[in-house]
Amino acid sequence: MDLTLSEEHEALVRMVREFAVREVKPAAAEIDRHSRFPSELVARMGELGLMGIEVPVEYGGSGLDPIAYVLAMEEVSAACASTGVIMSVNNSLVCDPLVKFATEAQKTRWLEPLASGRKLGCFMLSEPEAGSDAAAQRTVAVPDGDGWIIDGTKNWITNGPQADTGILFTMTDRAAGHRGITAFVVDLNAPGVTRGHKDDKLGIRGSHSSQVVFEGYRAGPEQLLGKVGEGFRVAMSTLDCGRIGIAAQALGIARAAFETAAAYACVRRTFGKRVIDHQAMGFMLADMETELEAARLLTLRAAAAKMAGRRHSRESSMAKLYASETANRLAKAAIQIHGGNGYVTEFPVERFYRDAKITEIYEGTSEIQRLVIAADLLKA
Amino acid sequence: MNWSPHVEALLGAVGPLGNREFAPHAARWDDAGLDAGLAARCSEWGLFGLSAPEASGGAGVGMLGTVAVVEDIAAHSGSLAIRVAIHEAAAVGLALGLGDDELLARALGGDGFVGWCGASRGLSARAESHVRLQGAARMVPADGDVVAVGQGPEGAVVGFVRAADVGARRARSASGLCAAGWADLELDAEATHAGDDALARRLSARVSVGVAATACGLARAAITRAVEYARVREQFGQAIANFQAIQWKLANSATERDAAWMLTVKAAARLDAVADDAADAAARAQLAAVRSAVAACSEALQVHGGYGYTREFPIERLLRDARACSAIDRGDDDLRAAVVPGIVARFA
Repeated sequence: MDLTLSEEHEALVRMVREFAVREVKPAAAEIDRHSRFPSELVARMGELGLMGIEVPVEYGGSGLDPIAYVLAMEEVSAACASTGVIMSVNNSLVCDPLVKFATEAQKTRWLEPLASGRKLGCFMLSEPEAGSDAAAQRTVAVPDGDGWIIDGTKNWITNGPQADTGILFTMTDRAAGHRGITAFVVDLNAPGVTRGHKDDKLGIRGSHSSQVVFEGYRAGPEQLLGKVGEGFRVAMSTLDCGRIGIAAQALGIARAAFETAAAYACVRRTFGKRVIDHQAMGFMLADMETELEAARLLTLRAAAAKMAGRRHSRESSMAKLYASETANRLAKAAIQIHGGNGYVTEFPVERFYRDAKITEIYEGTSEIQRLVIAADLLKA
Repeated sequence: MNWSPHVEALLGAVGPLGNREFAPHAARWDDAGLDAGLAARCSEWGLFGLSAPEASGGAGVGMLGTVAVVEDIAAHSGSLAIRVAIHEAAAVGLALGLGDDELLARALGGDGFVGWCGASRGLSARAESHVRLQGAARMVPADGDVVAVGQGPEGAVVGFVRAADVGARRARSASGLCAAGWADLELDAEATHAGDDALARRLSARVSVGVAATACGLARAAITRAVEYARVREQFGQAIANFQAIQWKLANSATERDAAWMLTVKAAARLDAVADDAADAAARAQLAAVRSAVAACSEALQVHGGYGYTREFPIERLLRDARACSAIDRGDDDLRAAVVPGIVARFA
């Protein structure tokens, strides 16, 4: 079991860390405060090849592996979790299913602009009444000539206000339940698409989400992604990979919380000694580091399983569950270690705390991850 | 992530021993202690010297291969796994650390399981023309030679204590561990190593990784048993596996166990690489592994309901063994205390 990183991976970490520390981290507090979408950082990530990390070079991507993706996500998210999720959605929820399910013509038309960062993507599965229960879709695609007419409302769509291209899930046969779901790749600047107001959120405030509404949207036959009725498979396979990205985002937040708290505890003095020299605080940091390292290893294990081409639902869910809950525990502990300073916006740890919460919710709540893990354990 | 072909082959050879040689005796070993002559059989099975080079008669799979084998044994018998783990960590580790071929041959030979007596349990030692050990230690195996570490005026003292020289061993616990005492025990200076803090730290880290691997195997066994039981046990007209309250316990236990296992594998790899951070990695691994094992066994007992509390099922044994892992050498707080200086060094 080889857990050491290759030289190529080490070089990537150095490159992304430099970008994250120099350009992303200094902007993070302001992005959060003004709920500002960081267009300039998204453009830079495009230039650096971070918007299509695993996409083959011939389709405009960087042609790297899932471990590289995890490493890059951790670095960007440690600096700014909002920027991290913008990157994550484009990579794992949009480019990934296109690499896996798109035809050659679709890859040329849709994938190349997304992977090179010229266009931004989003993933449209959730609806006002269908979150974790994806089979409760109400968006319908009705055959019309050689194409389809699509009507419905999608909810909580990350990158929704800015995205050019989206992966859209619709019901083509309501009676068939999740076997009646069909996926499309859609142009969001075409007629028939409107976007709602951006959601006002607790955290990841620089990443914008909104409703996306389809009214009489016409999709041509060339926009069908995979086969009719195969949409659930497209969605679940995409989320198996997406969860690795969110695990890495959570890992980044957890690392930022631990490092900020450790540095503070080594400087701040109470009762005549450094905070870390108080046993209760030192032991808290020891636990934090242990959980952080475990979260990293579970995330890398999931990425390695994906790389080996194995089915990796359990590994992905364990990584996402553990890393997201670690991010929340560590962000909370980081505030505690900072005392009153942790509760004010002058210090970054309250932002880590708010940003961490979403990682337990999107791309499958912690409860859904436990269902996936338990189902895998219990299958005969 | 896959094991190297070498480790895979070893696991293929050791795997069948689990159901054939270990599981049928696990309850009896727990009750009455390991069979006389079991160490010799372990030696025949190739379970001694896993981390020693092949040229010296070992298996040459390092600590990485050692944790793989120990975890597998622990899934069948915690009592045996902890003895194999500590024998490998302490006795083979001391022989390799000192470059002592005679001691290595003895450790590989199967005369008995060698135990470990770490510094944190109040053992003191001092270096003179010969070395004198004074004090007492808890959680020492009830028989056999012991590798002892003490703190002397010139740093750590590491010694190999023959069984006959160990003083009274008292109050044997259910998991085969006891208190041992000795006063003014004089050891042959050549059999000890004074002032080598690095060796003492390395041995301690090897023990931590061995204990962690044992805990991971116990946790896996408990989860497997709980899954099997939840599938067949019916309440309210259906298998209890259908209830989310049960599914949650299984999912949490499996996730925590895998997290601890990854830390254990990483720590073993760092020991094999003789990395500076190996001791910290080992402490984190033991901390997470023992905690996850106790939790997994406790939840597995809950899944079994009242049956879990009886000796009809192995769960209560797994729970006792898991709990014992936190008393071997270093407890949770000792491990946390060991990790803090590394954090200070990086962030101060």
